[in-house]
Amino acid sequence: MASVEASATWKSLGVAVLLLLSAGVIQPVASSTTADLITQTLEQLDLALQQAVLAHVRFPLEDLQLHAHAVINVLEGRAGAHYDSSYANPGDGVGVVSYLEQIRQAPEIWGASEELRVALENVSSYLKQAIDHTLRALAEKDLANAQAEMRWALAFLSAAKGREVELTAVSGLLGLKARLAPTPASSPSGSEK
Amino acid sequence: MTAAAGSGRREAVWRNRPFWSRVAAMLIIALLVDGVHLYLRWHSLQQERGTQAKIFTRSVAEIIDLKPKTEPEIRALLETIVRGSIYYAQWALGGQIRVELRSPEAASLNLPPLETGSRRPHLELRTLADGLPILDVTEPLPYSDGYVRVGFSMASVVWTAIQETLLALGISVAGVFGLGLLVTGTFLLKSRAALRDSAESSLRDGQTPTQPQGSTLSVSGLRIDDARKAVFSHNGHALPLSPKEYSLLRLLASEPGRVFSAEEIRRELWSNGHGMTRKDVTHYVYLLRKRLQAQDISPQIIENVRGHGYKLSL
Repeated sequence: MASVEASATWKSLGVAVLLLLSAGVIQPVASSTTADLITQTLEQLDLALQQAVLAHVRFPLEDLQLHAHAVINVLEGRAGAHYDSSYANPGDGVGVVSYLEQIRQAPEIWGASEELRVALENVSSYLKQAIDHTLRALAEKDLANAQAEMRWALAFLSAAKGREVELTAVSGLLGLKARLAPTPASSPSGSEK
Repeated sequence: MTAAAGSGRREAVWRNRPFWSRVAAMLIIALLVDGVHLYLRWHSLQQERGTQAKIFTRSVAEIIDLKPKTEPEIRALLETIVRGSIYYAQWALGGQIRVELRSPEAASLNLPPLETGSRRPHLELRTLADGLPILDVTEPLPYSDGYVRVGFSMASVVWTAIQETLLALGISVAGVFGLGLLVTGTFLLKSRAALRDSAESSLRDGQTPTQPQGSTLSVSGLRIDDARKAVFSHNGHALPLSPKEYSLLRLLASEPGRVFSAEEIRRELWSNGHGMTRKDVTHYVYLLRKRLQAQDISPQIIENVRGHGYKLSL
């Protein structure tokens, strides 16, 4: 009798979770590993980088600002203060900033070394600078100044992306991913992403 | 000097032909300089935007080719590009155009696929049917046998060059008029003052007033040319004056509005003065008025100031 009740409870719970998932109240983030999250973040960051690359040489000013809006939309996501749905959003709508927040709260990061956490803070700072410069480009009235602002944004986005082989503090997301990825010794199956 | 006389002199400066000749000359120079500015600015902007368009197109080619992408992904990328001043974008692979997006402005433009294996970057200024210039940029894909082709409207570049030139033109014209007014006006006023001082000192010394050689005086609708010793009416007709009639008119015109006594005129016109009387002065004034009347000029411009003498009215 007890086993029947337990089975009914688990079924109810399953249905509730499915309902919540379909309503978008909760997202299946918990099932992602930190490395997966970083990969997703890097994909979104690449999209922002592409738009920044296109923006920094685009003319006239109004066209440059189309790409700048796309950069903001990808970086901040739909929940961002500067998100504007009237402009293109090549990203998934979550936003690099939100992804980064999820990475920060991941168990691997809590248990990671101080320098890894500092590296993650640096990535946040680079992103903040990139957003600030992109917003300045959007407020500019002069094309050359707006292009210069987008070059700054490009530089900070590149820094946020980083390199796999780099000093930890400035390694960016690529360096973080390389350091957090399971080593062959700890992952005998070699199925790391 | 009365305020009215001073005002008359200043008005005479504005009517002065040399003043306007100088202003016109400076204006022509300014227009020429601005024309050269427009030409050079258009070319430098064209070069600058050409370089940026090449970098932009190369970036698109690299984004497409660095990581494998599906056709919908490439179409989505090109959709973010073909907006505003970019009229078309093509992605070709293996000699075939795989994705092509166009704005309505470039709907009728002929964009055939380029030859297979063409890996040479290409940049060409084309013109649309409505006369709009377009920068056609082709960049080969870095790792595949294909290319990306993007068309940039140069209308904004033309407009920027025109705006900058109009601004420069405005500054030049303001500068020309400002400087013209300052330099020429000051020069003419100084010349007038020098002329008046010279005449006054000559009168004090009992000499004939000296005038700068070749100077021209415009007063009461008459133009007195000292170099040619001739007087012209407002419509350009020369007045047939005798030497004494000319000298009388010239004397009165040396200080318009000032009353010259008959004795003063007699001394100026006949320096030895032997045998000449005030009646002779009256006679020459009468003759001069007749000459003016014959040319439809009011004889009353030479006014008789009872008990004092004669003056040229302003």
